[in-house]
Amino acid sequence: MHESRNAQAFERLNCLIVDGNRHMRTILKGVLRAFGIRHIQETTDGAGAIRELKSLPIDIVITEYALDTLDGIDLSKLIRTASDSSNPLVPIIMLTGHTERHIVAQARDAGVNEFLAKPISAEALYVRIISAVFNPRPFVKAKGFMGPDRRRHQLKHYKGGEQRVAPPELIMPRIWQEGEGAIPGLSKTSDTNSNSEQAR
Amino acid sequence: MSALGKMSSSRDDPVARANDYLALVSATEYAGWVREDLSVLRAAYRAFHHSPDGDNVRALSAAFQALQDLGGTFDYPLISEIGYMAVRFLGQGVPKSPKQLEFVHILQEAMELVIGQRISGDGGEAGAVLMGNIRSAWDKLRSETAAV
Repeated sequence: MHESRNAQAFERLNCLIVDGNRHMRTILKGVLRAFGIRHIQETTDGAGAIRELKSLPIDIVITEYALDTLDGIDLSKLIRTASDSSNPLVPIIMLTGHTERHIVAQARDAGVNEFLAKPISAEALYVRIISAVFNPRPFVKAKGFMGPDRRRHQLKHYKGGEQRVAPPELIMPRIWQEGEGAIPGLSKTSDTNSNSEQAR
Repeated sequence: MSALGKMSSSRDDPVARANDYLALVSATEYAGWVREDLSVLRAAYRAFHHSPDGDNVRALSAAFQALQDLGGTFDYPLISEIGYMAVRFLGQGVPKSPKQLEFVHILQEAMELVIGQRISGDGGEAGAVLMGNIRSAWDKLRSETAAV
C-alpha cells in the first residue's frame, strides 16, 4: 500500500538539486531516478535555485550547505521568508558534509525540513524524502521563524508552561493540497486556521 | 548513451534500485571522477603551497570537500574521513605556522596515498595507522595552539 502510494507520488514530484559538485549532482540524479522521480532540475548555486523556484512548481529541494554566493542556509531563509518567495512551503532537505552542530542548528532555524550528511546512502536519502513529503511537520509562522515545527518530540520531563500562545499553523506542501500538482487520493485536509505562533 | 543512462532495474524496491545504480557508478565511473578530483586537489594544493592566502585556502578546502562528499558512498570512507578533517582544519582560518602548513601537507599526502593505493573500507591495519597518525598530529597541533 505504502510502496504503491510512494511510487505514484514520486512519479509526480518535481525535485530541485542544488549542489556545486558536478559528480554529486550526477549521483543524486541517478539515485532519485532509481527512486522513481522523473522530474529533476539541477543548479549549482543559490541564485540558480531561486530562479528555478520562480519558474517551476518545485515539490522538494535538495541542497548542499556550501554553495557559491548564497549558501544553503541563506537560500533556505530566502525560500521561507522572502516577500517575493514563490514557494515558501517547499520541503527542503539539506545534504552536506558540513555536519558541525552549529550548522545543523542554523539549518533547523532557517526552516530546513531534513538534514542529511554526505557521503550519502540511498536508504538514508529515501527515508528523508519520505519524511519530508509524506510526513511533513506542521509549519510554524512566528516572528523570526518560518518553517517546519522544530519540536519533533515531547519533552517528558519538561515542567515549564507552554511558551506558544497559539498552536502552530498546519500547512501542507503543494503536493498534498487539492488542485493542480496534487496526488489524487493523497490530499489531506489542511487546517487553515490562521493561528500563528506568536512567541516561543 | 552511457551505461549509466541505459541502466534499468526490474527490482521493486526503490532503495535496492538506487543501490544497483550506485554499484554501477562504482564499477564504471567513480575511479575517473576521483582522478579528476585528485587533479583539482593537486592544483589547489600547489597554489596554496605557493601562496597560502584566503582564496587558495577556500579552493583547497573545496577540493578536499569534493572528495569527501563521494568517498564513503563508494566504500572509500578514508577518503571521506581525510576530507572531513581537512575541511574542518582549513575552516578554522588560514594556516600560517610551519606546523599548520605541515599538517595540510600531511592531509594532502594521506589523500594521495589512500587514492593511489586504492585503500577501501577501513583500510585494515594500514588504514588504522594512517588515520591514527593524522589524528595525533592534529591533537598535537591543537594542544600546542591551546598552550600558546
